[in-house]
Amino acid sequence: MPQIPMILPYLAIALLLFATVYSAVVSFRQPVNHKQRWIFPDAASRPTRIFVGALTVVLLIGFAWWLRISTQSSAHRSSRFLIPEGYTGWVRIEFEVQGAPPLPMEGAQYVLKIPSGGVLRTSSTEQYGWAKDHYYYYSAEGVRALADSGPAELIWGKINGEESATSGNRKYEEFFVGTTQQFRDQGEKENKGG
Amino acid sequence: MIVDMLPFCLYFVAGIVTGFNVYTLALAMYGARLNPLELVSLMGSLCLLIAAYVSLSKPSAAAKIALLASLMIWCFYGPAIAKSVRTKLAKQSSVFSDRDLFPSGDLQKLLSLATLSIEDERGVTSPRSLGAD
Repeated sequence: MPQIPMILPYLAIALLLFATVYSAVVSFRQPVNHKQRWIFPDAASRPTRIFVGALTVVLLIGFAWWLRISTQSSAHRSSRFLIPEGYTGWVRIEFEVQGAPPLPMEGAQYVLKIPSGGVLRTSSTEQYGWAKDHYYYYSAEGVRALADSGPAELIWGKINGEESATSGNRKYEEFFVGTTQQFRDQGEKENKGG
Repeated sequence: MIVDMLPFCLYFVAGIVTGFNVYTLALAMYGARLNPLELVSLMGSLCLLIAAYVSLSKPSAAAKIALLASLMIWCFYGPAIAKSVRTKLAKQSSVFSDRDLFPSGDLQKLLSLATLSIEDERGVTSPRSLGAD
């Protein structure tokens, strides 16, 4: 599966190149050369158009069905991130770590309580699908919500990845907690650090 | 029948693949605003799909739409590739490396970083991400 995203940009560029050259030639070519008819065909026949139309309808129905199933199955995959009050910086969650505790669930949400160091390790698997995650600062006084969008946004650069380790591949999720300026400063610091 | 569908297949597959690629890059980083070039490119992919269907009845008109759509898509890929190559060359010269420009499928990462760098110049995101070196 990871091979597909790797070749995708190459494939996209190659196809784009072909499409550009082909469309340019068709747009500016002289009247039809019958020997090249297979490269530059005339309008498709009626059966072809009916076939393409039917195939499109089937594909659209399939896509709508997949979208519906995917939305339904991801309804319970929302996560609640509990971050120590005042914490700023990168938060990292490592999944499928042997010996680490599984993620607890509250209602329909996974609860990810981030320790003060900012790194949480769990034996649970990473969750995929569409869901609205929630972020909170926690302290002895309780919890308060963090904005993950809008002008007061405090959650940035959320990524999911996989890296090789001696114990095998490790899946992780990272995001930055802080203001826009703190996120920018962190980026500049990392740039300088190489 | 298959021969009739050559332009359709080309435009359709190119539209889907480029659209999907730019879409995944645009969503690669949570919190980053959608770059206008990404938006133009996505619109181009949509136009390429339209051209695919038009090509079944009016190949010449479809070719013009496809050409316009391709140019829209290049608006993203052009700067992204240039940025990727520049970044790669800068890295190579700094470490005196003689490696290939795109070893072992690094283009995905480079395109991602290029996208992020464009955002970064606008002061929105950081290039840290995607497990890139």
